[in-house]
Amino acid sequence: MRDNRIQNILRVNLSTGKTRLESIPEAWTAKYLGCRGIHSRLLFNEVPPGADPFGPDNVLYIGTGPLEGTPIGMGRLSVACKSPRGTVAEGSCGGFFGPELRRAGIDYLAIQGKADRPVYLWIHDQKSEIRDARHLWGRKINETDALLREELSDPDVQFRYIGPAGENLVHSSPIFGNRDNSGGRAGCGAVMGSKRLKAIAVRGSGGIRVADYEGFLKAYQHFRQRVGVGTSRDVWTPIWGAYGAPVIVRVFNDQGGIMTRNAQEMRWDEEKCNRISAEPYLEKYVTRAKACFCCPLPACKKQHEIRSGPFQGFRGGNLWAAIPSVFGPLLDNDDLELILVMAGMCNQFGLDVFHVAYTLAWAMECFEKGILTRADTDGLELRFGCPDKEGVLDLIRKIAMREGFGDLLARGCNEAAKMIGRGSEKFALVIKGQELEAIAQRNSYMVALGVAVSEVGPDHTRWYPPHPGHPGLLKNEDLSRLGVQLDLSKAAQGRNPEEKGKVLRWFTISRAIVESLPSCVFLVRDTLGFDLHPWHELFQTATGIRLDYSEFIRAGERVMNLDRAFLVREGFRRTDDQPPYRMATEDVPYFGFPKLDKPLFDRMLDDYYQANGWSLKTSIPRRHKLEELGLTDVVQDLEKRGMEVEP
Amino acid sequence: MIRLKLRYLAHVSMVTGILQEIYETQASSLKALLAELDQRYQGFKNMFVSSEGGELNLNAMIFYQPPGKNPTPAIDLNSPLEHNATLTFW
Repeated sequence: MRDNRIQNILRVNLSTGKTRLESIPEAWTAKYLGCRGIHSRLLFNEVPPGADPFGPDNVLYIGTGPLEGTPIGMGRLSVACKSPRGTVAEGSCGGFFGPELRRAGIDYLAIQGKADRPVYLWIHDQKSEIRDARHLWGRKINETDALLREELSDPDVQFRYIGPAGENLVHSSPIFGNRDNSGGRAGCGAVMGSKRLKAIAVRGSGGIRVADYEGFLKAYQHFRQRVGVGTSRDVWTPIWGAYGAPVIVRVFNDQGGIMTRNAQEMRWDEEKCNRISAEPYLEKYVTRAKACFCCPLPACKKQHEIRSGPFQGFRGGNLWAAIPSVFGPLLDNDDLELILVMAGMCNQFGLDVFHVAYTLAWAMECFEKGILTRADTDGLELRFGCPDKEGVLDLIRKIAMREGFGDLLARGCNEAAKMIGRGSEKFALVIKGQELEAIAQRNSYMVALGVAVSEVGPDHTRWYPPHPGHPGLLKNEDLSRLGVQLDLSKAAQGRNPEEKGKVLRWFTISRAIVESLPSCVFLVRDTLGFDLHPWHELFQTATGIRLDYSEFIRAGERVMNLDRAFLVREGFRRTDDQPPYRMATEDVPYFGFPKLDKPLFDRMLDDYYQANGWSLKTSIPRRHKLEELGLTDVVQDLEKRGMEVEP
Repeated sequence: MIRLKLRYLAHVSMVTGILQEIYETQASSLKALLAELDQRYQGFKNMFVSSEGGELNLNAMIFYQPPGKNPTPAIDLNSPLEHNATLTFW
């Protein structure tokens, strides 16, 4: 039985073939909680500044946390490393790998060095073996899963693996599990590929013990009340509970939040939108729900099958909200079956859907404007609307395999635009070199600010939701009682820059906490984004560590500051926390929302940095803030490297 | 008589059986419209209005978009309805 107070880490050096199990300092559980928090600390401590992301010095961390394996953990797993684009690469995902890793007696893996041939790691009850994976190299995700299941002859073994895209160092490729479940889209899969690590398999037979069973049970029951379909006060819960997130495509379209034709427009034809939304998906294609470990809202992920037509027999799963948004309106494609196949191919080849969708959209706009021609695209008529379906699907394969025109797109639209030039940089929708997600910015300033400042590149899960909740759900005095000082009437106005920095700061801290326990960020429903008492109680009863509520909040703030410190140490500054050129220079057609011009955006950035205690000039955390958080070593590290840490 | 465009999302479309419709009504407020729709789709009103207090439920949302303007969440059941407005229920 595991004690949740002390966490451990299995260090695997692929250069030497040696493994070593170490304890993590006990004090770290109170300071950084676990999972993402521990990864932020390890990343800052162990990956040297300027390290080649694909070199042996970059470390790939995969880990859980003290609440994983309990029902509150929801199977969450964090993967982290230095991104191929130089930022923090951290992402969380669900499934069953996390609880299995803990049952095997391990909390974290640190993958160091580089193997001389393709290998996979087999972990079973604290024993580990590095095995030959030459027979798996080049295999797609579904093939790798099937081959490993057969090889290990145990249906309960859990896996994380990469596809051909990760092997071929396609920069944004994530790590996959359970066939179509991915995490770490800032390139964790590519870093895993650079180490020639094809897969990790884990099986455990141990258990997890919570320190105070009765207290934990009571806290868990309270939590379930807050997120249950019948009892939650959150507007999204009934929708999530029945349909899953793809239904938001229709809501976003109403609000000027659907990036259409590479965000040249922000409103899509209503009939097209209806055709790709969750309602027809559920009616025609879904075969069953597939929940993560202990999830109370199992509609989030589903399995589907196309039963007739040219794609008959195609099976896949996990059509999360952003997929129909980016493979639909962004490409002006209203063929839901094509969307399912495009997403399925990304999953099979180990590609990031945002990378593929935004890069295709950029290339389609280039084609529309005559910047690219058939001579550049291997003969493909790369037009919005995807008239050549087979051609587009083959291009996705080529991106993963880095063949022909696919090799250009494999670099992502930022790098591709730099290579092609001729003004195409202006419609490459990227922040810190990484492609956007589905959520639009000019109709919600919280989103605009949130994706711009994220230390991992655009990633809404670092702070979502984009508003404080239902207009009737919270009052200013409720927030004051929780120690949150802000004016909700201003914060709730989507296109009012006031209070956005403060709300974003709070949500970023609360997400850092939830992801560090870990628990699922999609269950931050009701007012749980502001009121972290239920999570606090769950942490205390699970670990036996008594921590003041204010100290618990401070742990989230510490994690957030460590991520920023890593980012600035790699050379990123305020000038990198900016919206894409198109959003900063073009008003939103039809809705009339103004562009995110410099004075407007600077005002929100100033507020955010000010609220965080970061330099307004550089975005480097200030000395007093780092010292207040007990991160004096970070101050020393930054100063040792000649960086100006303001008092 | 005014004409409205009504859009139903997710679980709401389970009750209505359709995703959207053009609807003609004499209802002059959101409250009156919900009462009418409840006659047409049994249980509709209860999805949006608390049976105890009669106020809008917190776990449901109605977007109201007057013609030519941007949509906003409806927070007042007595707010008037305009000809050619769009309402999204979710």
